[in-house]
Amino acid sequence: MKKQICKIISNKKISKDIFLLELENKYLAEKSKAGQFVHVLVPAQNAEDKAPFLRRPFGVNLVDKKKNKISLLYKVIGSGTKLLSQTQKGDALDVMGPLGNGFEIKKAKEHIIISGGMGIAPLMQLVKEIKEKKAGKIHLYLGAKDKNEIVFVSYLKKLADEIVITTDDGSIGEKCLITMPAEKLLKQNLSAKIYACGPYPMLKCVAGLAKKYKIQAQLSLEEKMACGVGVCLGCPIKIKTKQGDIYKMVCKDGPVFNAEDIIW
Amino acid sequence: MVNLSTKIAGIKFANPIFTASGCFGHGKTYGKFINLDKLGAVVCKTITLDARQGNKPPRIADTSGGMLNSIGLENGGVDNFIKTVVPFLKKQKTKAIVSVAGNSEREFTEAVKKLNKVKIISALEINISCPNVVHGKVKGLFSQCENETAKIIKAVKKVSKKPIIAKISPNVTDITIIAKACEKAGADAICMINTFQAMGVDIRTRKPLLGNIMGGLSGPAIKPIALKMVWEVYNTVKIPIIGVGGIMDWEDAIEFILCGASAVQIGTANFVNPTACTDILKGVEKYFKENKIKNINELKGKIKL
Ligand SMILES: Cc1cc2nc3c(=O)[nH]c(=O)nc-3n(C[C@H](O)[C@H](O)[C@H](O)COP(=O)(O)OP(=O)(O)OC[C@H]3O[C@@H](n4cnc5c(N)ncnc54)[C@H](O)[C@@H]3O)c2cc1C
Ligand SMILES: Cc1cc2nc3c(=O)[nH]c(=O)nc-3n(C[C@H](O)[C@H](O)[C@H](O)COP(=O)(O)O)c2cc1C
Ligand code: FES
Repeated sequence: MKKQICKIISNKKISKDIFLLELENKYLAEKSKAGQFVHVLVPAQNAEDKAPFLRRPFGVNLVDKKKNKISLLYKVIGSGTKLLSQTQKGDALDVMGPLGNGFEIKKAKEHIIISGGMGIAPLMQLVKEIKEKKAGKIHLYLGAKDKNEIVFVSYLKKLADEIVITTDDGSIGEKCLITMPAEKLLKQNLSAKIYACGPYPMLKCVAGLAKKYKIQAQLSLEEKMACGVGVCLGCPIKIKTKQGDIYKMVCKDGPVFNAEDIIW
Repeated sequence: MVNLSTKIAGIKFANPIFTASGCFGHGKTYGKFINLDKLGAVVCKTITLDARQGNKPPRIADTSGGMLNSIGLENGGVDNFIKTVVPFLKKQKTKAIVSVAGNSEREFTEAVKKLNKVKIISALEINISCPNVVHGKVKGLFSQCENETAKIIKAVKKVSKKPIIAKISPNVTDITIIAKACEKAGADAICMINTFQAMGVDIRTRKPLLGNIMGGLSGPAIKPIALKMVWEVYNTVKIPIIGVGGIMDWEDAIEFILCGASAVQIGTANFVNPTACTDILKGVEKYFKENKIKNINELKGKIKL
């Protein structure tokens, strides 16, 4: 992990409020793996901007080792992400990373990847790595509020063996929670591994399914962060250990945790 | 070579740039971003006699010109510190200051007694000002009360083989009264200030931003107030002052020295910029050189009135 000034290659709007930002950096491209994140210092553009004080964490969306670049996929939800969306090609961005542990990819017959909303951001690199490693069949379950949040489907179709989409408003795919079709698949008694990233209630539900069907699940969690490197003790998550229940830090010990260890 | 050294409680530190407790761990992680040997001292995260879990999340919130935290002194306890952290500190050239807190006089003195045996610790910082934990039977914080401040500092001074730095809270009517109480009780130095009690609300969910409802405000927002308090206390006590609160760059550090600080601590700035401490040190060094300052005493408290 390093703190570097990276050049923005592009920062494009790809859907309503959703942007894809590409950074040129050899070190980040070489070191980053699926599930890790970077901590970005968002610059103020104008005097009237309310620039965030702390850095903002974003999952590594895709890594291109050949072209020395990584991308971030993010949704504008507040002042930090709004200002980030205003940065442009050629601008410099202060980035710490790669941070956190990332997903562990082991061979399995089926890999079931469950995404909720912007949870797709780190899961795209996961899909890519599973495919590259030929680690098994990929079932991608994409849930979102509406069709605007369902992105990169044609790209993902090339990598995944199956894609199932659901939305809260039915604007694309079935109108239900993504965990419902996911459970249908899990019922088939598969030899599989689960990976998920998304809102808290979805992750909690996935953890329940993983337990019910006795399948190992890795969940990528979120918590408000300051340092991003395990120093400030600001991003705790309660975890079961042999020594009892203790707080671990999402930034350093995670953001990926085993579902069965998490205390909800 | 510029002489940046500073003397506090009879100890000579190579330079006046220290880390602030709770904002630097014990140096291992930020040691990957900067050279720890360059720092005047590393002040470790506060430890308590027994391990503590800390407060429930969220523990962090962003706010204009700073941040709120309600960590709640999460730590593994003194014994664990001696076993797991001290071996790391032993390998460092930089001086180590260990911060200690407790819920009672006994908890403070028991912890101090255990730390007496650890040679590499240069001094102890007595944290009687954390806004995120209960302070015994006191309503509020130990360092909000003149008598409690005096009682605890006296008690640790009695058992400690190491110099005692009292870390105090800005949440008082007159901070000079507390500073004087520390001096009278035998403190060798004063570290000021801890965070300001504060809170924030998410208007969408109408919930407090922090799990513990209230927390502490730190960062550039508090700097002018910290500075004013350092100046007041400098004019009241004879013991050295370690200035802390919102220092983001070398200019801020020089301001604190001009207001009377013998050293400064860098806290929240590390989270924004993991190389903040050494960046600040470089700037201070350059300022000393350019202004031909041979000794920190030529600068300390020397604002032109
Ligand atoms: C490890 C990690 C990886 C992340 N990866 C991505 C990613 O790849 N893509 C992406 O779009 N986002 C990601 N996030 C979330 C992202 O960090 C936040 O959206 C961002 O920090 C918001 O900053 P802001 O200044 O725009 O919003 P703020 O002004 O901080 O917040 C605006 C409002 O949104 C709420 N809010 C803030 N953060 C979140 C959150 N994480 N979830 C729900 N509500 C929130 C706040 O409570 C507030 O009401 C990640 C978070 C973590 C911890
Ligand atoms: C996340 C966080 C944790 C802190 N933990 C401690 C602590 O354990 N002990 C202590 O004495 N002060 C603690 N502090 C207070 C700082 O040491 C410092 O006094 C305060 O933050 C003001 O300085 P700053 O604005 O440079 O951060 C903490 C501050 C923050 C932001
Ligand atoms: S953000 Fe500081 S410990 Fe995780």
